[in-house]
Amino acid sequence: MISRPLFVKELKEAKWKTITGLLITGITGASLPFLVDYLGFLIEQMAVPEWARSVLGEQLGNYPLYLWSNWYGKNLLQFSLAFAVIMAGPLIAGERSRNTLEFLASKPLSRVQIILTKAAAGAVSLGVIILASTVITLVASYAAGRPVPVVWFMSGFFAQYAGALVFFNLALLLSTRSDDGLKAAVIAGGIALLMFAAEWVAPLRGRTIIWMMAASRSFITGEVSFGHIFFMLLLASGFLWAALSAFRQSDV
Amino acid sequence: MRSMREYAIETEGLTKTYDDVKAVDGLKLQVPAGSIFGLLGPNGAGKTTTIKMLLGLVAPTSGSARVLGFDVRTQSEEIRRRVGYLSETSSMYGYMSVGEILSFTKRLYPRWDKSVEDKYVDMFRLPRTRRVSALSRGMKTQLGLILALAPCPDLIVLDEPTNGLDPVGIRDFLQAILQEVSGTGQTVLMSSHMLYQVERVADWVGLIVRGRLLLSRPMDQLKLGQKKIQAAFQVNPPERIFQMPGIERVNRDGRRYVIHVSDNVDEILMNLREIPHFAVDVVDLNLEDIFMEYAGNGGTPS
Repeated sequence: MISRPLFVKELKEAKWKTITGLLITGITGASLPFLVDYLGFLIEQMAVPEWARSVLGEQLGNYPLYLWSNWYGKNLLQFSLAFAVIMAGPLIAGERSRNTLEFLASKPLSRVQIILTKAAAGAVSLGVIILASTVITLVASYAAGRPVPVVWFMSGFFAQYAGALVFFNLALLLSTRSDDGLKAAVIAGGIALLMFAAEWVAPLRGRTIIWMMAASRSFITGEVSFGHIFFMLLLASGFLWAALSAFRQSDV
Repeated sequence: MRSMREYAIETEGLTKTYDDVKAVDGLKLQVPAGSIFGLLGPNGAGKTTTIKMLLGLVAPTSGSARVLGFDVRTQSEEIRRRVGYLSETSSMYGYMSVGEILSFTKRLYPRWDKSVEDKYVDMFRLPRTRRVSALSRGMKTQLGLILALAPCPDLIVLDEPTNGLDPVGIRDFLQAILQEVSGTGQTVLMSSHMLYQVERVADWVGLIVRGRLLLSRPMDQLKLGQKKIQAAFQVNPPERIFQMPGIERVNRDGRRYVIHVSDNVDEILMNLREIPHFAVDVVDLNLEDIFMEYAGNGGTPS
């Protein structure tokens, strides 16, 4: 079902995006453990209201809370969403805009093979970014003398990756219907932003993909939330199926 | 081992409609296996849409088509496995080098003749390390031809292949096709609006205008059958003589007549010569004249 030559080609095409993603997320993750003292110093020096000083101080005083909320709840969350849509947006639309889709589709590959192979290669690149940067963050924590339980911390990866796949496949679906990869990425990114905004609305808080992606329940309960991960994978599969269906019906 | 089917391509009522416009309209096409079939037609006639439907790139609105015995709707992957395709309109990956795109394409096909690849890379002097984006248009076409020939296809489909080539490039290109397919049993479908090129290589010709196939014949039969008789009579000829079978059209200027004939030339000539005349001459038509006869009249020969 997966075409090896196409898979390799897709990995090569995604090479610089993957490297850029690794650099940005890796540096961000590596810097998190070292920022604790610096932030504490800044709060002491700045004239901030007492309640803010108290909240920030509490967060900085609880390193696992600081690390989880900053990594899975903010930095990695934003980066994985951004790279998911940036990587998937041009997969089909980019072939169209470069006028290479006919070249590819005229080869002995089925439409299903083309989509699945592209999705697989993109998912691998995205997975590498998320996993490697999370490992870097963990190693940096140890290097900074702030160790956290490895299994506990890495458990957040699965939810993060599953959520990223939801938006990756959503962007892929949009890509099959567009000849502008950037446009597909921007629309998928816009939908992700709406999800962020939904988290600010009290009745929706704790019920969005963003909440599930941040693995908040895992942090609170200390257990991996398989239900959330399964739900996100199901949603991601739905978008992938829709992308397959759309691409099979489209003329090249 | 090539299969022994009669037609490499068979379509029946093949139609493609975009919104309300019929790009291909009830096409019935039969391309004999082993032939070099020139699909002629003016721009916008439906040649490219037809080819894309045959390869499963575009879904037909109605009708059916089989290529090498496979159904275009349900077995298009099998078709593409056995077809080498060169399109004027598609692009190759510009960031790849010549060697990389050859290697990438090679791994997609079950068969690949490295000797064909090497022969034409050398003949066309294509630098393997140069990026595709840095090749001239002519070199890209030559590379596209190698990608179409090297998989040892049963059917080679060339869509307006020589656009952008200089005369020497066109000669080399056509020679390469002839050399590669002669005696192999491979079928070539070559769409073009450049008639002299088709005339040089094709042994069958189909003419498509406004999405409909107006004629499909062996090249020699077409050229032998299509004639123009120029006559100047001393008296007015009887009208019934112009209603003989085989006469397609008659243009009259006083007592000078130009009679377009598609068949039955000898009998028509004999009857015309029985009328007192100053001159009755037969003029052979080339492919361009025949093309203009049909295409120039909006798809009707008379």
